[in-house]
Amino acid sequence: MFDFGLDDPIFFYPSLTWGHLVYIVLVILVAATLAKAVTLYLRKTLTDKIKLSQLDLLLKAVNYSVLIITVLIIVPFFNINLGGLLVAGGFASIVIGIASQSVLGNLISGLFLLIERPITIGDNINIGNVSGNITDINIFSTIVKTYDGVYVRIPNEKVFTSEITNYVAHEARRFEYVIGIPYDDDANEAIRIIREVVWSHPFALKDPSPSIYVDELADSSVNIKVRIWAPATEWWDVRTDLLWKIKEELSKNGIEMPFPQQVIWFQNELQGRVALRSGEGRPRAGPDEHT
Amino acid sequence: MPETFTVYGTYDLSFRYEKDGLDLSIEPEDGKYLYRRTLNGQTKTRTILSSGGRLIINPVEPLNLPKEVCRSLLVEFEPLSIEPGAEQTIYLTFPVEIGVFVAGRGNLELLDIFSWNKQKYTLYGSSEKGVIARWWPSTARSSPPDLDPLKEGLLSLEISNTTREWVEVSKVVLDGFGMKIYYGDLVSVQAWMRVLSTMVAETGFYDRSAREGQKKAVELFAVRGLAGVERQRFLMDRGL
Repeated sequence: MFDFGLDDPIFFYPSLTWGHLVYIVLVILVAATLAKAVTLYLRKTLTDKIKLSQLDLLLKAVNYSVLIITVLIIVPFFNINLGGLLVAGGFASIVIGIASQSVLGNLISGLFLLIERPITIGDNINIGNVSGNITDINIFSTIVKTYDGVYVRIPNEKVFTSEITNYVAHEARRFEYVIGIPYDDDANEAIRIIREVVWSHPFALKDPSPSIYVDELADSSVNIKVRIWAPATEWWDVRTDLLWKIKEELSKNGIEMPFPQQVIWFQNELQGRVALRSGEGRPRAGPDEHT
Repeated sequence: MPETFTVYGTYDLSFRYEKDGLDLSIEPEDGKYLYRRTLNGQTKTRTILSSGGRLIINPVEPLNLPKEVCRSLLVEFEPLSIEPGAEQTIYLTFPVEIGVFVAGRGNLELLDIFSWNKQKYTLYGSSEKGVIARWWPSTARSSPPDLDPLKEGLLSLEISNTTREWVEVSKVVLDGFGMKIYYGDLVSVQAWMRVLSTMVAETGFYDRSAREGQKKAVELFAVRGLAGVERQRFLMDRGL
């Protein structure tokens, strides 16, 4: 019969007893359960109270703290000298670092990104040729959900060395429209109407004030430029909301958007000698009408 | 002053108010309660499952409509020059937003927020370092004006000029999270502004009513249990 006791050493690791192994497994289970329970509790209680980016950072900190504490509890059972481990780890990290420069590069870039914080979770960004919302910033990579819902993982080294455009880093941002009105209409009246529509929108900021002016005497229209500041988080909604309201209000006041058109003046009068041949769909010019 | 009948108060879950274009009701329907509010052609409905709660209607921090984008209120008034060392109280107004809460088993739930006022937001400071704030124009008066408690509240502002120079003030920015609103036939808040230099001032609220008999409003940000709401001062360092 097989004689088995908790104080018996494990045959493949004699310095460890079966009792120690049971204890270690229990510690890991308790730590995993604790980490899960605490993160679940924090997620439940804080989701609507703090920013998602801060919550994610907090959850990561909790998970890593539990992991480190668990390792520190378990390590003595394996008779591992932590001082020696650190030295060995130092050497190992140099070797591994040289062997895997890109991984190390991503790690260091990730740390610099956390310090510099050009982006945070939830921001609308453009990194290289990827545009979307930041959904996660990990140690090695940054996760972007593009505007059409695609998951993109960008290595942190690439994020760090790329040009980053953060559309919501500042409190407010400006957008603009070009509104064309016919030459026959009163541009001052059009500007007054546009100003009223912009003023009526809560998120078209009062300061910096909107700028509305005749910008160009174009081929088919008088172009009015409208520049509006909005809270960075709301600018897209304001932009999509206001343009049609401006068009509708101008139409209500008899100012229609002109179609592209050109006025062509002939140097010599046609003198009414243009005729259509039977079956032809275009006018035929007379012999002396080519000048 | 005669007592004005307003919608503010605590009611049973069977209630109707119809006045000034506002139609607000909560009525039992098929074992549930149906909340319905119509104002300016816009209707909001909510279904409530409750075994006998209460409805609380009071003014709330005016930073919620059409949606919450900031936590600051900027009241702008005609420029006032304040002499060195002076302490003066001026009377301004602020926009009223009305919150409807349902209370049950010692807890509150926000049902609705509405207002007769139009909303406008502004930027205080620069686009990269400033803050978005709810903008409200007001006349600065030396005595409290009569106000419609459903639309405007009284903002008593104690200004103290701690500098040795004359200072011109034309706006006050307040952190809405510390706003202590009292209501009755008048909606009021009391605030202070300490001018520290010609460009910098600190502002905050007092927790006290303007008149006797006023009730303290349920604080919306406290009901939401938002973390970090203990900061009740605002540093105006982008101009006065």
